[in-house]
Amino acid sequence: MMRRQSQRIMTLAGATAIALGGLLGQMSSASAKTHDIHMTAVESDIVIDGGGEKYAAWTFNGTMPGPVVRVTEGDTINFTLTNPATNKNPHAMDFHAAEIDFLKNYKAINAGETISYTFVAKKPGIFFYHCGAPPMIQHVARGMFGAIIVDPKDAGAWAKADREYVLIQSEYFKNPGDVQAMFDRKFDGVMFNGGIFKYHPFVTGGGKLDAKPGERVRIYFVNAGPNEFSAFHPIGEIWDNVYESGNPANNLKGVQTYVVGPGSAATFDVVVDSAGAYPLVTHSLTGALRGAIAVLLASPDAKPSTNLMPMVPWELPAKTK
Amino acid sequence: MARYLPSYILLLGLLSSTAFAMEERVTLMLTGPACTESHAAINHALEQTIGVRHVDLQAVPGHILLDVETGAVTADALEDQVNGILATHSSCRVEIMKSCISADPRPASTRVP
Repeated sequence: MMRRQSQRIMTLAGATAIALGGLLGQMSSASAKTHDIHMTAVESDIVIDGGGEKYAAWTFNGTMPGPVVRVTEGDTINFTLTNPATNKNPHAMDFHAAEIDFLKNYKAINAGETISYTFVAKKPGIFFYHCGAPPMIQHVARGMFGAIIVDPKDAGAWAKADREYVLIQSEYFKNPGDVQAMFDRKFDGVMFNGGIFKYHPFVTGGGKLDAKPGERVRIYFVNAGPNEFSAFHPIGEIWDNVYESGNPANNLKGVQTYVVGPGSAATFDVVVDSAGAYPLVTHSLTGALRGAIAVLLASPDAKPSTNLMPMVPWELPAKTK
Repeated sequence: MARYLPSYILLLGLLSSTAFAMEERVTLMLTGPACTESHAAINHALEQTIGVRHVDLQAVPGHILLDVETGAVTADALEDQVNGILATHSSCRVEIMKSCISADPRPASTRVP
């Protein structure tokens, strides 16, 4: 008798759990959003250094990197890429945050064509996006890349950040038409967010990234490559947390340097203890000393920063004389 | 050659005064408790200096960022000039900023030939 009653309770509990699970699932899908993201392949010159040097870039929406896409885990993205008839080259879009058929969705389209596809951002993290048209090494090197942040559905999955930045590392090849140099890894510089020493205040035209002492600064870091590995390190600090691919479940603590390969990404948290300058570099020094240095300046007077990628595009200030 | 000299000098003058002349950033580090009091005097003097295009004492606390015309003035000369201004303020001195992140972007004017 007792056994039968116990079985009945178990069955009831199981049915309730299934019903509750279904309800939660419905609530979850009801709260998920749909985003219509439209990008245009733009072949144009952009400023590459503090001296105003121009570079014949290929871009998404006219900037290198392209715009940051930000959604929440479970959201649907309806994506459209337009390759205007005025362009000279085929282009494509590969979202690392998507889990969809490559052949159908990531194919290159010619000038004058448009492609659309839909995906659900199922996994939280920071992901690379890039053009996959051949030769892909050239399309990435010339600037067709960016970042998509997929925020975790559960905001409590990690500590709340006080300040956030996106940094995308990539190699600079002086001659954008020299594909062989790209295959041979003969890069002339390494950039953060499409600029040589863009956030280095001791270099002509350079700026900085601001923070206040005690703030948790979150860096969404992507290595666009196309070839070199990044050894991301905060000079004068230690990463409090490193989240591989930006997934809160992949949490490393107390990391000095973390390697991010080409086509990969990670999220880095640092709580800067005191006022001062903390250069964020690739500790592969041939890259750092040729452009990949971003100075995080901690000051009590730091203004709030709402722009995830400051100085994109790089507009040089007018001089006083 | 002599008859071409005036136009040659004129051309050089035009080139050096053009807005497109090469520029570099010199960073000087201020050390001492009384440096803030001297900011106005330093700024005023440097803005009058030939070859100095822009002076910034705000961007990086404790540092002077100078955008200078390449070849028009050296970092050493600017360091001497500022220390001259600070001579009456014994508790503040300036020196050329050197660190691991300034190894390569170091201005041409400070490099050993």
